[in-house]
Amino acid sequence: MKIKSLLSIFLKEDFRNFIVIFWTFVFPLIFFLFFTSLFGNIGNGSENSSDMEFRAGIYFEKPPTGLAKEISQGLVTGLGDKNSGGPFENIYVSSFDEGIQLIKDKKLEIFIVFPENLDMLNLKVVLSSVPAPVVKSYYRSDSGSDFARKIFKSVLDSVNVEFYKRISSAEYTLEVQELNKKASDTFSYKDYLFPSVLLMSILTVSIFNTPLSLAYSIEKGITKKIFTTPIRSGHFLTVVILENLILLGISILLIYIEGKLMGVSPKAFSAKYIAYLFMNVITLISVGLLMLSVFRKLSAVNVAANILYQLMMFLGGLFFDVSHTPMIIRWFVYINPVSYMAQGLRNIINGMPLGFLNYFVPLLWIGACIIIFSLNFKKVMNYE
Amino acid sequence: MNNRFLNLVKFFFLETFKNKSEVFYTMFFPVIFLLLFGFIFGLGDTQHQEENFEYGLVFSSGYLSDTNQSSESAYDTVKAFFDPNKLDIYADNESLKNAVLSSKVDAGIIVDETSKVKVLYNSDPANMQKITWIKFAGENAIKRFLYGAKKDYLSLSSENIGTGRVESNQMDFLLTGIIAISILSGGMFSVINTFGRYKKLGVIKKFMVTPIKSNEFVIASSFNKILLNFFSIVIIIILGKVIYHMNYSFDWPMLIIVCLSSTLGMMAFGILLMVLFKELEVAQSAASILMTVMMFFAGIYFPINIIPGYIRWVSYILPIKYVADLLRHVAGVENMNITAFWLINIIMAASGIILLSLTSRQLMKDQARN
Repeated sequence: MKIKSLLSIFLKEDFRNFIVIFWTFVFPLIFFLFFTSLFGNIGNGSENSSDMEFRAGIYFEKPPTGLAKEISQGLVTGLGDKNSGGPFENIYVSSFDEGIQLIKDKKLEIFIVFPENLDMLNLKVVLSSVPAPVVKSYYRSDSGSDFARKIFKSVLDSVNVEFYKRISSAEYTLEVQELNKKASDTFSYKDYLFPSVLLMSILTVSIFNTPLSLAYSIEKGITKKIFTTPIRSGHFLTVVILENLILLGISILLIYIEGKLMGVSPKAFSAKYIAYLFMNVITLISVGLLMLSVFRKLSAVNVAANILYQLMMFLGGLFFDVSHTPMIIRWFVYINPVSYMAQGLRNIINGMPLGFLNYFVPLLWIGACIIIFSLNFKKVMNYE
Repeated sequence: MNNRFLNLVKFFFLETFKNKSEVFYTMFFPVIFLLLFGFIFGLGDTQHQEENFEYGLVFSSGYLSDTNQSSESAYDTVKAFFDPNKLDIYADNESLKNAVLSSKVDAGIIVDETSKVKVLYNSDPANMQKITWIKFAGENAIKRFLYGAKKDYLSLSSENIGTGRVESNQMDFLLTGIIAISILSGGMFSVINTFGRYKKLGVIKKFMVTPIKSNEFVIASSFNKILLNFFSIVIIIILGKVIYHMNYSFDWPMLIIVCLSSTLGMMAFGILLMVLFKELEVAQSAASILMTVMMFFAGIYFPINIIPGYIRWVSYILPIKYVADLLRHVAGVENMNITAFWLINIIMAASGIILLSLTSRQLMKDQARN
């Protein structure tokens, strides 16, 4: 009864607090909607190329003839003309200097120069010892220009392979197979982002709300006042954890409703997924309590929570691939329970089994955190 | 007047440095972002550009006998076609599949006896940003091997057009972008946190009963935020040089101008949010959303060119893109039209001063009413 009354008071206070409502309930929903709209096309195949927009400057030092003309035109077309739904707008320039100036002025992402001796290509087809004409591409260091350079290099590589393919007697067929999912499935950014948003929401509650509300109550003397009543420290801790579990439950429910409306994979609604998600909640709540055992001062908890939140989120593979980061930070990826949780949740959506580490690492964290927090419990609650 | 103003500056300076959280968030939090994103997008990415992928390969026994090759000679030959990417040989299809699934290799290639080449890659969406390059490089390499394409018919030579005073690479671009984010977040959050706190503690009301004018109050309190922000930027630049060996060659007087104008612009934006949203917490949340949007629309972590056309305009109306351009110019990473440079600085500073002056008066009025 005591617990129920205190819990009801705490929850009422939470629902009157804009910060709690916003960061726990509203922000994950906005984030999911915003990023699905922004990157929803990634990985959908060729259709997303029409969303890209690069400008390529084309310059011929001498107009080509014969096969060289056909090949160079094929190369330019291979970039994918914007007019036919491709990612490039091809701009023919009248001089080398003009092209260089345009790329320097950021009016082009790439400047391609076909050499004067391009016609040698006509001869090279029959006489392999003839030196290959060198096409030059000029780019800047920014990511857009570098992206355009990589596309052009790939297209040119394909053209070279095509030459050999035409003169070769061998015939090879190429089949590309995606592992990790059924052939009938198509990539869905929503399914990729859904576990990230869920984990982000859990991190917010477990790393921020729980330890901060406990630290605040302890530092501001609220617990001392409460402990003069029949409520004990154990009751108080139970109430704070229950309060945050309820908030998290509502947050997860809202994300699920949004996910359902946006057509997230039905596998995310399976009992296995939800059970694994629950394990993730327990793990991260435990991490929050561990943090409180280490940093007890409210300001220190605040700073530690901010650092830990960013590290766990960005080095947990929630939004970017972190498996190839340098070792100086990759060690954190390996000890970060969020890495295993995110992978586990995605495995379930992709119809893959959960591995040993997907269970072991989170359970190890739960065990270690609970032991350390239990040993420090009295100190944390300001008993000593 | 001068003495009063100096005392006010001194007071705010001491007050700021006594507040450890504020010092942390303004000066050291951006450093965490520098390290985090620097390694994730910078060093991590350069390790993983098209020159440096890792592939696994299986030749079926049928293919080797059909082409009269021993496994050793075929493997020795094929490795040269994948160079400079790394190629590992696997005994059978199953072990290769497992290597792909466990990300030991970026993609797997199986050449079977029916002249069929199968390229396997892990469709984990975390790989999506680089999978196109992995597939392109792997497919071209194996095709070149199979068709015996040792030499190019058409060669390619790529040249980075240095548009700045120093030779720059993508990492230089990334770090200048991170500095831009630091300036913007430092400017915006410092005023929201400070004025929000003063408002809550009733400091503004107390000052209003003194002869101090609202402008004096705002300028004096903002001055040390600008200073703190500048210290933060200096720390980031030093760390960038030490950790990432950046090639910056800063024009320091110009850097001070850029920091001043950009911080002023963002501080005004912060106060505007305070005036609009009244409550500290609401203003902080609005600022956080704005920062998140700016981080992803700035063209810092990925090209603006790949953002869908219908929302790409957002990148051009947010200040972060322009601040990053200004910083790249003063860092010598890329040149900028000098008229554009001054125009952006003047717009940022002027809008900052005008907004600061208008919104600070409004903020004081609001306080007087309450």
